[in-house]
Amino acid sequence: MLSKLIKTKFFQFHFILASCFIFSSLSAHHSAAMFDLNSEMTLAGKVTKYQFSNPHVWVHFEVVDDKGEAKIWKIEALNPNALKRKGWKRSSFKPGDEVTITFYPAKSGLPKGGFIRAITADGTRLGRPLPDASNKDEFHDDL
Amino acid sequence: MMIFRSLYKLITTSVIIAGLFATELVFAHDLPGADFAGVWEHMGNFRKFKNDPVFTPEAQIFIDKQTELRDKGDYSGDNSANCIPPSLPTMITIGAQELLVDKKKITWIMESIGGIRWIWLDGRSPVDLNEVRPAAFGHSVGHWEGDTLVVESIGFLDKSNLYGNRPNNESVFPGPKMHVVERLHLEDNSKVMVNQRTITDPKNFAKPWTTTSRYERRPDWELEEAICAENNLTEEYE
Repeated sequence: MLSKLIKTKFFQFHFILASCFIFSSLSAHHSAAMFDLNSEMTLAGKVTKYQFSNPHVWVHFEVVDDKGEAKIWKIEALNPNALKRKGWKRSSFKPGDEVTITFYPAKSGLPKGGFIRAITADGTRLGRPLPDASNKDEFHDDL
Repeated sequence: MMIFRSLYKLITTSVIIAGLFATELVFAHDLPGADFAGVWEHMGNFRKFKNDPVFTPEAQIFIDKQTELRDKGDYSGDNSANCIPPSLPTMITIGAQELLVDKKKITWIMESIGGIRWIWLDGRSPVDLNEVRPAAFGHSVGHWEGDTLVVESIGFLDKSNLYGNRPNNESVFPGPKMHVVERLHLEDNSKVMVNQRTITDPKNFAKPWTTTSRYERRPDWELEEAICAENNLTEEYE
């Protein structure tokens, strides 16, 4: 009975629609709570998209894992006005750039994260100073 | 002829000086109290105030429910996700703030949300809560106690997140009797602004909640537009 229901177009359409709403609420403004602020993750990959926009900046990058599978990771940063004062530019990332990004991973396990720091294609370091380089983290929250 | 020329000069000069006085802003240093005008950067992590609020049992149940939902990945109770600005003090404790001062008011611009609050200094009474439309940042009147500006705010929107120093950003919503008293003063040769706030809200807090923020003057900063709806939900629509 259940398997028949799942196979119906009506169910599939509404399941996808419901999923869209659930995930849209996950990614909205000021959603730092969805990231695990107690752990850090660093990945290297190729930028696929960069949105230097309000309310928050997004960097998408494609990471190929050990098995050769590629996955797009979506990293959320602060608002663009605050980031500009920390050295970010509208041209800091562009599709195809090889970058390394450190972020707080999403608690949900989805390939998303809250930005901590990055090394851009031209070697520029953005975000918080490395932990051993400064004790000012407490004064410059990056989410 | 010389008399007319001198008279003309005198009148012209007087009109210019009178015009400058009329703008009020030109002689801002003549305003009473400390000079808060300028751009300021909030120092410290806006999520970590030294003092935690003591929630009422009703508010604690509300907070616990949110924690339970968020542990399951459900953030549906987060109104800031719909671009509704959080209540005081959140938006005055994130990033750049610009204070424009004239004799009648302080216009306080909160860059990160593109929000504005007005602190009326003209001696008016607090708003009538039966008539006023509740506002995210409340309705504020201020008076000087020496060089300290005392600001009282009421009339808060009950849809704005009122964060309570919680690790998962759980929040309550302002009650109808929420009342905020801010005391602002300058330190370190006017390079630092200090804002101590006490929030009283019988619906949410079992006792008044006092927090303090420090701001550093940033004369070289210029604020920019921030429209929350610009790219708020597009990520997952692709």
